Amino acid sequence: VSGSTRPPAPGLDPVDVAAGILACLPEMTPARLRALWARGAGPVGALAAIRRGGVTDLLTVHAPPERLSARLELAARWRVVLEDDAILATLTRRGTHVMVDGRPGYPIADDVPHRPLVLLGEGDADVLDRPRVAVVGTRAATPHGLADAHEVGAVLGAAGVTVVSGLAIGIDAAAHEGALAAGGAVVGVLGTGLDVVYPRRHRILFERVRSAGMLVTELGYGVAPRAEQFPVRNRIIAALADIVVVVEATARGGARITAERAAEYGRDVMAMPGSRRNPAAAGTNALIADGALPLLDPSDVLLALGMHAGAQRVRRTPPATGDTGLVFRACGGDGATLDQLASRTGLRPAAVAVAARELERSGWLERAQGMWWPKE
Amino acid sequence: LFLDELGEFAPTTLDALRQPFEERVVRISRASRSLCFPAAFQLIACSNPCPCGLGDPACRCTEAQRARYRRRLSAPFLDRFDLRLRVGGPEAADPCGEPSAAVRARVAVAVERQQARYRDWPWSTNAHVPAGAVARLLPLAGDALDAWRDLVESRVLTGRGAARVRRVARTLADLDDAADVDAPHVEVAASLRADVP
Repeated sequence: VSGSTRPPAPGLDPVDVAAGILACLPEMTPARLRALWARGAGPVGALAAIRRGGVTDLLTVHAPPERLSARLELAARWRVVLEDDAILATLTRRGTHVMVDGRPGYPIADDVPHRPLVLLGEGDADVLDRPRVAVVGTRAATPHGLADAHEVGAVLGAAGVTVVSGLAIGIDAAAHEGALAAGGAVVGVLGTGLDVVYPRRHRILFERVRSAGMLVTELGYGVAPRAEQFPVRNRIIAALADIVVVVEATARGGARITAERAAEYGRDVMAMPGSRRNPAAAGTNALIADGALPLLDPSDVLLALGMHAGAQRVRRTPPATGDTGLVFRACGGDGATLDQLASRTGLRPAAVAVAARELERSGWLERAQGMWWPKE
Repeated sequence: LFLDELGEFAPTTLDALRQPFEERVVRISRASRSLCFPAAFQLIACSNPCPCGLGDPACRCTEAQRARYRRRLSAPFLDRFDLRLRVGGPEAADPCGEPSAAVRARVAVAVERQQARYRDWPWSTNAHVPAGAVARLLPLAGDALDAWRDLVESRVLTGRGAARVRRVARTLADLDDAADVDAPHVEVAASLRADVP
């Protein structure tokens, strides 16, 4: 368990406290939260109703017969949980920001349908006050896609834009890393409770995001990862962003859900085009076909936000002549093996190897997975 | 010894190959005695990049499945292969393959060169030069040395890879019937140590 060292968030008032406690009750779901909210005319009344034992019918009304006893137990369990102040103690100790729909500090605009009633956050809430751009994509990213995501993250981070993503393997992590490397602000939206690190291998990244920005979720402490929670998480990412950028997405991946939600919420969607032969570009190409803006250069996101790209674009000219020119062009914007490059250029493998190494040294190519890849 | 679908073998089976790999003998110990058999084999293996083996773009494996499949082959095991390369799809411009007779002639020249080189040693191929003797018996000079140093310094090559690349570069030079290893031999040798599968 990773503890926050921040002091308790200031300004926790009774409504926020009640909302935070409600959101952290065991087996809380968005539908239950909404029903409780309605029953109590707000979170304070909802808590009082639970303590009185006056919400049992909400849990049992639609319950199938075999679930009835479990639902009755849950209602009883909530009353027991509320007898001590354990949840409040957790919220205070971890300095949790409780963001309640319709109250100051709630980061999602009111034109977003089905927005969460309560968001829980840890970290620096000020990063939510800046322009926010979501950078999302597939977990099965190519080295190319990872480099693109890192660069988009870095460009946005350096320009003072908050980069929102999901802390997943692949594009998400690369975008966070890029923004952090540029000293930028980040928001990581979780599909679990704030004290759960998923995927495990990102535990250090989680800490870096918490200290350079914010972790956000609608799920209570201790909620473990479950497949159905991640599309919902993607919906929050889309709702938090002014623009959603998709860097590499498979035809049927979660990143497309994020993009579709964003379009539904009236947000701009930008997608980085890729080769038709790259399965990790199938989703982004399809998004462009559906009307997403093609993202040809990371700084185009800043233009779309109405910001000026800070520095002039420095465009280096790729080598055009000699063996290096031949080999660079033969990569065709995608990965290729030594044999393929030799076949495409008509050069001997030895000449290709020397030229490719020269291009690697000057930053135009990189090697990964047994192939040579263009770097920009 | 050719192992098809390397990723389908049990890790314990592959692990049992390590000792014959290094010492070129198989030791079998039973209660009363221990026997030693020669096992100087050449190991060739191939693997799909993922369990389904369909390749892009038909592959439907998840990234987690691919990672699990790759993890079956440990880094120390893969490190013991002198050559590792990814085989790409065929290209329209691919030339017709070289006839086997021509390849055989080049290999014969290379084998002769190596036998002559190691006349006074208990081995006869570049591959068997012990790690401790690589620097002395497989010297690099001029451009080749610069290229090799550059690859090591920019971390394209690991420590173990650095020595193995010298053996492979020497073999490439032998195949060219060249007296000295030059920079292209080193670059090609480095390209033949890809991070696959």
